[in-house]
Amino acid sequence: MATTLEEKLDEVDNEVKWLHANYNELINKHNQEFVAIKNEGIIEHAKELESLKVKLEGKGIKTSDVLIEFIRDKRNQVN
Amino acid sequence: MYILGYKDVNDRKYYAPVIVQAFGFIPFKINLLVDTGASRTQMSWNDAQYAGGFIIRLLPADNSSYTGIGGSVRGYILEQTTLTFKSSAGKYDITIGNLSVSDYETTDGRPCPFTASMLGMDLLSRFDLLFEDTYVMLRM
Repeated sequence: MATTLEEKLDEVDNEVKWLHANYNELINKHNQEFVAIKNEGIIEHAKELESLKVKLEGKGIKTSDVLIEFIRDKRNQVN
Repeated sequence: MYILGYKDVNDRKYYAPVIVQAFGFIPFKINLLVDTGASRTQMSWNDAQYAGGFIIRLLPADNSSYTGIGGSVRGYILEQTTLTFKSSAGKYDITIGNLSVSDYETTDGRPCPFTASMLGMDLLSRFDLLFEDTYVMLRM
């Protein structure tokens, strides 16, 4: 768990870089699921966000210490 | 000094990692779509709800609505917000005051799809943007 803002910043930089480099693989494994990413990997996943939060809490992990993403094919999405 | 964003292999768009610091909330992580087509930076309802205990409709309303594909949504305000980026020179803070957060339903009650939080031109205009094959560089 990050103890400083700088450490948290290094973490999220690595997590975002990893997420977007592996997004298509994540669709294959976790399509339409919420995933929690930490240290360049998925530490938990669930179909519902509340379920994911419960799983993380069970491990003593705060949602603010992980990067959470809903995995879906974004190619047809309009922003 | 520069900030890096990363290209997504699925939608081929670029995303910048950021820590959101706001009054009353523990700093939390999101990634922002680098969106030169957006005039304003805005957080999506889905990113907002990931910050544990974050309930959008308890936030102050910003008394405006945002119209996009599929309908209009209300906006809420995340107060006293600073976005902290990792830069080549260490952490880089942009204090933006009130950050708009989009609602999870349209004004006529239809659910909104998951969508990316956007880094818009209000902030991007501070930088020169260099888009490369796997990353974007925001240079000051």
